[in-house]
Amino acid sequence: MSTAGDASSVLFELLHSSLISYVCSSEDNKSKSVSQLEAHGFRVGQSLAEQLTKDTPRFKDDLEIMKFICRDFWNAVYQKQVDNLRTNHQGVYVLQDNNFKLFTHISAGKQYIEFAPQVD
Amino acid sequence: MSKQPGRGLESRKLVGELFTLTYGALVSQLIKDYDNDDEINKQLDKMGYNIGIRLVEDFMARSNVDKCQDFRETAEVLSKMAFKMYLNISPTIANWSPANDEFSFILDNNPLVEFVELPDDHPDLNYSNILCGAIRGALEMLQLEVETWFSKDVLKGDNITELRVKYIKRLTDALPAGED
Repeated sequence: MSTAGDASSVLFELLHSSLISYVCSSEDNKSKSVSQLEAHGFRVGQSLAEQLTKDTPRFKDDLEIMKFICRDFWNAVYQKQVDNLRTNHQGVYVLQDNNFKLFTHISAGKQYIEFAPQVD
Repeated sequence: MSKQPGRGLESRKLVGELFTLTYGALVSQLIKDYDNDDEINKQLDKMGYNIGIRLVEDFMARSNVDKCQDFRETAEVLSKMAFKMYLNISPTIANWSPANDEFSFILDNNPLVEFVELPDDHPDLNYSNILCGAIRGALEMLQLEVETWFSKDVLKGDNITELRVKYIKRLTDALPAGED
């Protein structure tokens, strides 16, 4: 059905990349631009999650919430599910997407590494 | 595994919503960065242009259309195919100029403005101006220079949203202009 070839997602990807290039070019400080992007994502994600959950019962526990994120939310945003969800059962979850949609058009070299947020 | 949220989700609608919300985020960022509505409009137009010049390739690959014979056909293809394909709307074509070089798209149902109200202190903001840029960019790649602008916008209190397109000239040299 809606794969990476869907016309409306092509448009979304182009819009997304122009948002990123705008934020990165208007802000010299890298960590500031990353947090700007995150703030935008926060708003978008919040609205989408509201839409997606409006007819569902309240989640029982955080594992259910994670399942919602991995399945329904990921599907809505990226048209696929998260490939792997791992947890240490102490509240840390690791989501693994082996073919992250927004990266598929970026070459796999080191060119963009410096733009990625770093874990210190 | 007891409950099944997400049954019957209309994924297409959600992609559209994601698009609308992301566009809103972009505009709100521009409003933060610029004081002047004209400057925001210009930035949106520029981004649209950059999207248009890339999008047209995807469009040609999907649509398989032949060269348009005249400007009227261009208008039809834009409305019935391009708008339909990417935004799932088909704007009405209206208000042709006597010389057949200028027409309007009437956007009855603009997905970009679905959750939008213009703030009072931005009376001149053309919220959907990215569309103008996208059309201009896409047609330029097809060697057609046009001018595009919003002449009416429901967000500004008009009764319709009208996007005007004016034919300027046919470009002969196929050299694309710099992206900037």
